[in-house]
Amino acid sequence: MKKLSTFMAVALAFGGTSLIKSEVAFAQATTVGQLRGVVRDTGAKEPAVGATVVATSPALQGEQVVITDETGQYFVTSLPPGMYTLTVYYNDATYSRGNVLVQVGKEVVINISVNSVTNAGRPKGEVIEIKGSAPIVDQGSTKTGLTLTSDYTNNVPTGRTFGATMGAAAGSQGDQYGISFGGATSVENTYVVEGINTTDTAYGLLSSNLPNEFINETEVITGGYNAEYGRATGGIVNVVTKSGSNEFHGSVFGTFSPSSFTAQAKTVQTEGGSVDNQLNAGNIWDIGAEVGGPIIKDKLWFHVGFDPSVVNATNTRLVQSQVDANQDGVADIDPATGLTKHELVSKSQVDGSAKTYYYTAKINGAIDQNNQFQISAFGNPRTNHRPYTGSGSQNTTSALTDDSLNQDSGAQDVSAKWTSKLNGGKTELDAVVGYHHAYSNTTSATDAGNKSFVYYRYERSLQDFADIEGPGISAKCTDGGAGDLYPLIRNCPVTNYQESGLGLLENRSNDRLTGALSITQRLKLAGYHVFKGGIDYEGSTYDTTQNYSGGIGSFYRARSGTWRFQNFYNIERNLTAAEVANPSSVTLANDETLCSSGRALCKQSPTLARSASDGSLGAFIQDSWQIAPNFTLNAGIRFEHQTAGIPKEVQGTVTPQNETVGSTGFTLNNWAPRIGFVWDPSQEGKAKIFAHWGRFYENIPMDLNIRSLGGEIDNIANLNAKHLVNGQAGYNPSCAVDHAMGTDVGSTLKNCTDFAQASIFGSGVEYVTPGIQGQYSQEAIFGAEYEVLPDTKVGLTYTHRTLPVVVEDIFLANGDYGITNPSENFDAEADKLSAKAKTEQMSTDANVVAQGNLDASRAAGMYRIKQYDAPSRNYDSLAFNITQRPTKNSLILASYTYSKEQGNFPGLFSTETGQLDPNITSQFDLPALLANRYGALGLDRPHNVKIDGFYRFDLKQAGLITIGTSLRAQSGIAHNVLGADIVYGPGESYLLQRGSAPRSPTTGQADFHLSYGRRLDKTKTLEVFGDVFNISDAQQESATDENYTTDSANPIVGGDMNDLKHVKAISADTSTETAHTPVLNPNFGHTTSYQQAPRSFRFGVRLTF
Amino acid sequence: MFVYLPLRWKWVGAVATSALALTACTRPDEYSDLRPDGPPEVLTVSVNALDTRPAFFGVGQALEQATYCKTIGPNDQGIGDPKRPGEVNLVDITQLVYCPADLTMGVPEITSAMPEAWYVRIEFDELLDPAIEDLVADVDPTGVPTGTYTGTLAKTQPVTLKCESSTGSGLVDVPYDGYYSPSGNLISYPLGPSLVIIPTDASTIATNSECFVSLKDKIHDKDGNEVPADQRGTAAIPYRFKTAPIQITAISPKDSATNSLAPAAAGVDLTFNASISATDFTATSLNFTPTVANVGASESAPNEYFIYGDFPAAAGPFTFTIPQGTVFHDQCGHATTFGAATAANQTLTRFSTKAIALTGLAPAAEPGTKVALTFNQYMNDATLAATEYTITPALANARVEVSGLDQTKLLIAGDYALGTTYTFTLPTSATIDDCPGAEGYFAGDPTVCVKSATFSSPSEQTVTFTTASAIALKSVTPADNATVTSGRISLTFNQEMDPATFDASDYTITPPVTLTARNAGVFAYANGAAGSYETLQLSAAAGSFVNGTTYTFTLKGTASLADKLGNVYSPGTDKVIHFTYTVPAATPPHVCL
Repeated sequence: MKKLSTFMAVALAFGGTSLIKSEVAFAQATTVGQLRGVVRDTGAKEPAVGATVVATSPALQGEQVVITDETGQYFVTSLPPGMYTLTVYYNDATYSRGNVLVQVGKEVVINISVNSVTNAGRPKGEVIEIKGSAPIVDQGSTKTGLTLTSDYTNNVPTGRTFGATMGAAAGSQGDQYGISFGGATSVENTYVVEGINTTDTAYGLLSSNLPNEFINETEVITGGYNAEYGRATGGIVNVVTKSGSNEFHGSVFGTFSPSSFTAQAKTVQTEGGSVDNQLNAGNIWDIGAEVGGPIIKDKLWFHVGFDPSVVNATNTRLVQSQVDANQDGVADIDPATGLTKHELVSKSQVDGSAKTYYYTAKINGAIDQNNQFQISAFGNPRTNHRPYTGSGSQNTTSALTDDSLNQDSGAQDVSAKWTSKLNGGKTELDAVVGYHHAYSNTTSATDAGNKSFVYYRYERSLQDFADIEGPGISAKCTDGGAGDLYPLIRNCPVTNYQESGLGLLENRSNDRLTGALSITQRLKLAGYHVFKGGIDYEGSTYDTTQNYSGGIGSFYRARSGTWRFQNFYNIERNLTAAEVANPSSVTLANDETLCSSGRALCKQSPTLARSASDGSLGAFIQDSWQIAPNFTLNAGIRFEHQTAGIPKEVQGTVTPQNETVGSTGFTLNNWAPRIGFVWDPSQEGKAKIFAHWGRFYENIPMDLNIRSLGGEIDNIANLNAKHLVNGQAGYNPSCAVDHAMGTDVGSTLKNCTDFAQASIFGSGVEYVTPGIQGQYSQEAIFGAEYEVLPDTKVGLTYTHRTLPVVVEDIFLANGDYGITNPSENFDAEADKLSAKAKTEQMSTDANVVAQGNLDASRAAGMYRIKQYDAPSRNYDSLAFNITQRPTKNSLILASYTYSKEQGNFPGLFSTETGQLDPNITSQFDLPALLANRYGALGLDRPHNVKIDGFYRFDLKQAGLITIGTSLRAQSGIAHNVLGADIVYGPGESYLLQRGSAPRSPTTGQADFHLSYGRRLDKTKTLEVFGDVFNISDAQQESATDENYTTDSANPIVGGDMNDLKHVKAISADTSTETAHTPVLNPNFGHTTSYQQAPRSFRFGVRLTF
Repeated sequence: MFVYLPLRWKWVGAVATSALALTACTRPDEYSDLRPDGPPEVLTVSVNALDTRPAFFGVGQALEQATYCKTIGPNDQGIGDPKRPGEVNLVDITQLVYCPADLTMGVPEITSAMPEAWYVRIEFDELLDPAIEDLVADVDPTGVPTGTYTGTLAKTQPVTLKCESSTGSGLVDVPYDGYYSPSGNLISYPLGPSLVIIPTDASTIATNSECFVSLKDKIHDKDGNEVPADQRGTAAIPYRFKTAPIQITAISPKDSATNSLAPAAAGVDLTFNASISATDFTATSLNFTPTVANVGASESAPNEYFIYGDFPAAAGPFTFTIPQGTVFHDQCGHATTFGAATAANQTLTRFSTKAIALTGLAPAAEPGTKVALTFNQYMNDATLAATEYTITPALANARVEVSGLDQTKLLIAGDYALGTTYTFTLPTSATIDDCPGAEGYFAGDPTVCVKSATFSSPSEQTVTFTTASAIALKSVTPADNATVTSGRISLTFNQEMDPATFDASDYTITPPVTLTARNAGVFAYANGAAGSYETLQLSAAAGSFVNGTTYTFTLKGTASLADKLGNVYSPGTDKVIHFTYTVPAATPPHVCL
């Protein structure tokens, strides 16, 4: 408590007395803001009817001129973000109101008072300055979130790109794949840059990213938005890059984070293991420039930027042995850490380097005051050479850290926008077209790419792999015989040791063509309306080629000596009816198997190449109805139509079910209503009480198109399941292999003939249940804000979000998966299909009968969908904000959020296993996987505090000194007690109810910024600065090893720790339960990652002109 | 730095929690939940029985199947009550109707419990008091705890298990153990906690015998509630099942008109669901059409028999049947009479044999540096005349041998010199006769080799190889610290060794035992060939090794052994192994209850 008080005092000191915020929000076009207000003649005590209001700004080409109406109201729309001056001409007097900040997606309300009585007779041309601050409490919008500008990114210690700054929003938190808002997984966000959707088409990841110096504004919308926004069940991040102006302005900048100033990363020690990896940052630097200016003043502007960025890193691999000094057969514990005592055996380092070439180029043009256009191009191509540290999904201990991966990735975008104002500015037409191209190609830099992925899923001695590790490990790792330092323990245990290969590598490209058209119409009718309607289309593609290294899939060896093999299979041919009836009559080669529930013959394939396209049409209409000066009602409805395309490689083929594959997997027609209100009880614009309810639909990422609609078949087989030894009938030495000096196990296992099918996932193009609904979230927001000081407000917002319907694949019918809405009632559709099946089954045509049998099977599966556990994700939060709109001297963004998130479905990826397969995760695949899944979800962090701000000391001739800070504290996550599922592998079986294990501790971090600037002249400023991140070098646990065991075991429904002792292992060989308890994971409950990066310093210089 | 804020968190959290409590959702009742209210009820009783579903996976394997399903009761939700297993998804992603969805329907008694592998699972609708089970620490062979435990019901004995006696003395108590599984088997999904009752020796119960299981009053849930008396396997609602009669669970090859087998591998492999009397295999019980000479059966694995015969090459199709009326007896003397032979019940299959083919030519196939010719048919080594092949440089004492017991593999033996490059050539049109009856060849009856066909090399086959430059010791058995039942030590070299060069000066063994050496591969071939192999077997006179004694054998570094050509091998350093000798346990006579 004392520390918090101290912390608050420091924070407030940086902010001074003026707390601010910039959260004026109103639904409008995504790259501009707008102004409105009332001009009143205080002398005449009436509205200033017919006053001319002229908006000018360095950000605006030309000027915007409007006339007040009979109530004195004026509206100026489609304003690029920037600082504006309003000039009002009324009754021969001229009034000027400066410092009007217009931000993206916001509407600024500037009411202006003129006085025709006292100012009558003033000299012509005299300008009457009007001073005042713009209200900070937005009276027109229910949006929650924040806007970040260069005031924030230049003066608050934060990341170098807009993607690294989004976490400033209240309640946001990092997850495995990005920044999460409002309890949704990060891949549910939509990222809009320059008006086009740049979200990754495959998985929903952040794709296009740019350095802060290229950004004019980043608007982070976390909820409460109207119908013009869609295709997201998380947040919307709206980015506008810088534009030119009538003067040449720009900056040259560079930053450098020396590795010598960066603290050592804590090593995550794996209990029961002897190999640990430590990833340390190397030198990180970037140097760039951006400049903008006129090509033709007031007509044509340009802005360009280029910023090469280099991130180096060093991966240190530590091999350590255990100690048993007292020879009691138990590894000694280090009393200082409570962990097993280790002695260093060997240490090796591998460097990695990523180079990103950020660029941007933009042209703004104005045909005239009412017709303007913009063309923009930007990108972030990247080359990355990095060490391979094992397959993340398997949590392997790789021997391959000296092998490296080469990855070319990034995105390149181009967009064009046209805006026309008609009807005296009352009507506005906006059109946007754009193209987003993203790619990621991963290749091996070494021979490892030519070998199969082989690992050992149980504990072994590292000495077994001395030929890989090098003879140096023998001195301390020898077990047994002479030279064994500690004969009663395994000196160098290693679990999940990866021997060779890189597993699955992918080359992919993900493109999107965007076109949008919207019309805004202002109308006076029982108040003021701003109607907006629009239509947009997104055509997306996902082209992928996936290869297993070594030309064949992965192998892992179980403790029993059985090998499990996973590979792609392709349908070679469909079986004849006679063969289906008598499958044993089909002769199979060793790389072939029956698949699709015995309806087809499949053959191993090292490659999966697919190319799919997707179409999404959106349309909306909304109204912002200002019923009274202090009450605005916002309502709208959005329609989204998504067509999920089937990859072209399988279109036109005949499935094993004898169905011809079409071009469309499914279509969704989603209607998303939104409604909200804003009421100002103060009637002075200083307060608001608001509420919003809305439904938000997901745009299903295209991973589903490739994997589920693309006929991907994953085969899992058991090799050496019979454990035959030399001399027994059927013995094949290629099966009974184990690692030995110099052997290539993967190549040997290819010839194993003791081959028992375990599972086949996928059977061609997955069936989509008729009547499927889109996945959506529902949100209710209640909030209040109050302006406590000029430019400063406090707010309290309650958010309730649910996920009533999800789209997932489930095990639908005999051997087949289907895409559906788990737990929803499909009885009506099943009835129809069942009736159709009965008719078909009475046919004399065998093919029709077969179709009838298939339909009957699917209908039976559809009746069972309602018996799945209902997916749930219930998020409730209470957020308290203090926000100060940025001034030239200070800024504060502070929030405390208390939240709770319970359910059984975290979202588009599994927070426990990290499986990123939007809408086709394994979570609902089998009913048995659902047991114990309800509980505190993986993003449930009850307490979340963020305080960001800066204060600038203007020492006049002596220069400018700026101090900034960013402070974070958040609760840890609740942990789980997991086992392996016999089919789906580690981490998929919730042995106890979700969240049963203790939470990770609360974590915190303090970052500081100090800069010194000199004004070189009126327009040039040279600034040097330094940032320190994580000044206390706090590296606190963020995740633990939740695997109670890596053996297979079923969930104990409703069980507790006392029951857990009795849980029984399932044999990897026979897939049946045993009388034995599973082998416990010695690392269970131990730290696997730390929340914060080590303390680091960043130095920089910036010349602004 | 700003981490440990417990007091502030608590009050802030309390206020916020109170606010959120107004709207936060309570935990819903999920389909996957158990039903912890009331006493523990028995949902199902299942036994391990033959999986006879016409499924893609798992054919011929055992599968837990319900022999009792609870019908509707006061706690049940009616049709489709998800708390009772209905149609369940199996591990292999097939499905199984475990209990009917209609709760008014039970299931018929299972009469196909695996005779020698049956067990009983009793599934409940809520967690039991885990004290019903004891956990015994598992230890490794050296007695060190492994960290895992085995569940046992040996002390608590929560059920009574009775089966029909094979001696006609009515129902007898069957000794059992088992375990408590709080999570249950996936087969009984929803994951009902269950007691698994495993007979101490399932084979003590004869095939085709009725069994009953009833619950004692010592089974409680975690609140102390007992299983209701009427759900304990009463006379009114018995939990019963029957062991299966003798059946064939697998036949290889499976019946197909297109089966084509290598002549050496031709035959039928039968897997039974129980141990049978081998004397039941008679000339009339094994029937091939057309007739095959020298038909017989040999046990290739427990309950698995290979039906062999003298199958000629490029012949068939052969149809194998077990004729109707064939009688097989189990270990308890219970007889099962087979009905009409069909492919469906795996008593009929068809196959043809392929033509003779050379399938491999290896330069150094085991044993030693000998050229090995591998065929898909048993071959008559005597018909591979020296004129049918060449080897250069000339190989002293060149001769043809068979590889151990494998008459499909012919070896070109001789005095291979160390560090020498040889080239072996089997020219085009070289001929070798086959030997369809080689299964009985070693019985010393050369008349078995009545050829069915002659192999003629379709093209020249050549292999070039270089023998090892020095003698090396490849392995020693037993492994260090092993426990053995055979008082024999084997030294395997990369060259054929002369046992006469091994004597007491080459080794030590404590306690002392006198060892003599011989080549492991020496067999009394009917054709008079004397094998000479690279493994030296060091054996002692009977009774020399003492039960329970740990021996230390040292092959001295100064040992001097020689191969047949006189090349000397000396280890240089001592090779030491420790092993413990135990007298093989006598197989107890089988007991039937």
